[in-house]
Amino acid sequence: MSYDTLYFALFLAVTWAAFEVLPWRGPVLLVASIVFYAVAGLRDSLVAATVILANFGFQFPLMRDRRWLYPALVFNIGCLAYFKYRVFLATAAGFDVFSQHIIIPLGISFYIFQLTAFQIDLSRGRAKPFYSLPRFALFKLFFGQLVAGPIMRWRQFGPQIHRLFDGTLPRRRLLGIALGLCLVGLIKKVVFADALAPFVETIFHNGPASAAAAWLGIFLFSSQVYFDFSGYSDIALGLGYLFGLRLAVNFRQPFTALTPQDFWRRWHITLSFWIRDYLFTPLALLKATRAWLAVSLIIAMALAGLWHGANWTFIVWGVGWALAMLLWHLANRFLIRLGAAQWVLTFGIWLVLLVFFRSSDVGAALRYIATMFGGSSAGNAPLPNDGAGGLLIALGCAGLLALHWSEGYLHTRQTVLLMRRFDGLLLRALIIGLALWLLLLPKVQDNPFIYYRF
Amino acid sequence: MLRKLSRIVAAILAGVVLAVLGTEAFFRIIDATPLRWVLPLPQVALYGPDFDTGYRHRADVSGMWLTEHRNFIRTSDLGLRDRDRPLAHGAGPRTVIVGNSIIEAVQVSESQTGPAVAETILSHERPGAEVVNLGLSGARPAVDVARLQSQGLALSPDLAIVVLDVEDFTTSATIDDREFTGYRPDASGVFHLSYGFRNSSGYRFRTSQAGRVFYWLLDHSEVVRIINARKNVGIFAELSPPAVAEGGSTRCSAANLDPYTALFIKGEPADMRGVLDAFVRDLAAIQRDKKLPIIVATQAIGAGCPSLADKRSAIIGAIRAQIEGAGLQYLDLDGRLAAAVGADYATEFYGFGANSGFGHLNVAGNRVYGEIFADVIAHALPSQRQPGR
Repeated sequence: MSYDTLYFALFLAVTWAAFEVLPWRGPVLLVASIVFYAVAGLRDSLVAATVILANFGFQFPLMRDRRWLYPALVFNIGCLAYFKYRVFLATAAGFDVFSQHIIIPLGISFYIFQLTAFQIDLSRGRAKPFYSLPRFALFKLFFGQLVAGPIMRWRQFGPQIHRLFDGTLPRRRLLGIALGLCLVGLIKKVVFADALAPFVETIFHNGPASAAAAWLGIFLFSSQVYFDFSGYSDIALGLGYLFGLRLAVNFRQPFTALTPQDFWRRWHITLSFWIRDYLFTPLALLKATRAWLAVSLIIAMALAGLWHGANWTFIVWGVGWALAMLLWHLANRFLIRLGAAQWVLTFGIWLVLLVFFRSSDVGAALRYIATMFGGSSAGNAPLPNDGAGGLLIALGCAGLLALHWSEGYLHTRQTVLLMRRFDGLLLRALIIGLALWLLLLPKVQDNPFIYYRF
Repeated sequence: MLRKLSRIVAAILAGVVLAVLGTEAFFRIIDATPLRWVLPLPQVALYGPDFDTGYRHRADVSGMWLTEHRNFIRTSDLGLRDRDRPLAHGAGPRTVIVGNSIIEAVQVSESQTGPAVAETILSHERPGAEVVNLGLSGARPAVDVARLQSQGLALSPDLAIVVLDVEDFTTSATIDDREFTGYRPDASGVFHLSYGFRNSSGYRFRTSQAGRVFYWLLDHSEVVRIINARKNVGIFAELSPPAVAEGGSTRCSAANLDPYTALFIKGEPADMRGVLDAFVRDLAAIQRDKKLPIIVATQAIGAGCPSLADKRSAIIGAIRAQIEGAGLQYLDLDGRLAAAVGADYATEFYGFGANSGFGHLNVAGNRVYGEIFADVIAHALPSQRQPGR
């Protein structure tokens, strides 16, 4: 069930009404979340149910003996490896044993990572076990973060789930802000991400005919993927607020980052912190040498890349980021003198590496990058010429960056205070009305949220 | 209590009204600026009711077409997918091309459609030569005939080309007249043009005073266009999985031609055979009564598959025999296309951007169609226009 559809709006309205009217708020959200995921199909539902049940079961022996963490990790990572990476891993190892046709269960990367973090936290004493299966199930299944995150930690989300089931809402619900976030997310997705998709598709599918087309294609994809995923994340946050739950923020204007390290503190924050806390730090602590630190970073970022999909392109993307971070680490004293030019370098690195993220294979990515830097054409897709001259295209790109920059004003204390001041029936009716008009507008082409496929 | 309730209702109503006004303003800004080439918009609604065919283009309607490829479109003052032109015949010869969305070509600008390209080419040799686009999305054989009879003959043409998608003879929609003109059998089983749509509530509404108000709103309000577009696709349209385009590997499958072998050679099924006979009969009657030369062009019988050459040749032979037997002229459009640009033309001439090879004719495809039409028209028209017509 996709957030940018009328039937999801109907589902949300029914769920919210039941949540408000019935005394069993936790169960209402759990049933709604199960219905939400069941739309993905029986197979996906069975996989999710099995993983959740198994992880529920792993908690108890893990409480007694920390060594039970290893079978829990083997199970979780094994599930992910089988359902997402079996073809890739087998092919990389030289075997051809699985069908190439692989359908990844919806949201498996997200719920496996959240459950794995929970088991590790439990083993470290940073989480408490769930003795109730419905509470544990809702901890992972809440439809506001089930399919594409944010990846929540127990300390952020666990107590909220308990308070929901215990009938004590964690905080005054901010309906105006909740609806406002949903509207902002919808605008990002429907107005911007979906509108950019056909241009990106054309340039990447047919290959850029010139350096300008190549730069435009990757810039537009960068905007598309940002508006798409951050739009989804805004809606997720809004859905949380609607039901009195506070989810983690996933984006903080990543394109304004001055360094690669800063970028990853702003882009898909819950994943990058997961990688830092559960992968990089434990690896880095194995040996206290600078060389091993670098190796740990490369391994962690390569795996972060692989998390996105079973393709060498994602691994190259991750390793590229690791090398960029190492470069900034080593040449920090020099780079810091560049001032604002650091932003140009960081954004440039993001764009170049993003080619690997979008391309079907490493060869295609290298050809695309060669075209970006004046090499031979990777295809025949020119700059769009329908109603747009070069100046208008440049203005449009600048407009997208300006929109991104101005987002900083949306997530401020002043905005929250303003929304709370004007929160009322009029504002809520206005926001719901605007959102419904966006949902009523028929889609010209099918553009599911990009991170649904991960 | 009542006061509180009325305050609540007033607040909600005010919010809803503001939302409508905000949406209207937002999409109007997009529509009025170059943003219309990128950002989402409600698609222009081109069609209105027609007594003869059930539906047609409304005159002087303009807006963005979004499906397959963005294009700013404006219908002509005569209510056609054509440039503005007087109804009265000019000095040069006039040809009308009747067909479906392939001829209508809403995905490209008006000057890039096949008929417009043909007109440009012909006017070099014959100043004043006109080629009028009578393409209409979704038009089936009965609509083609009814459209030629009404809107086509009103233009006093010297030649008519009716482009026929033979797939229409494999669908039962061809004998359905509830929405548009169809072919229906009489008591003796002979098929005739039928206008059942005239009794439908939808047609009655569209031709009523309320319908006229609705079309006025459709032309002047973005939110009304949104409502209309959503009504057309269905409230929960996103629940249905999107159609997957068929790959080119099945193009040369022998099974593709089986329905045509059955229809054109064996005469099966009987009702479709009856429709085909009626279609040819009606066109022959127009040609005879109005002294208007008519060329029937067929498409969708894929050329360029060596393994199917014999089968295809037999089908084309049967079609040609029937059409020429009725005194009409015949054009194998697929064959001409393959001869002009080679057999493997689909990728180059159909579809846009990442969907190359699928969908409607793109700019290059329309240009080739236009060149073929120009050549066919140049050969079919007498060297000088007959006086008095």
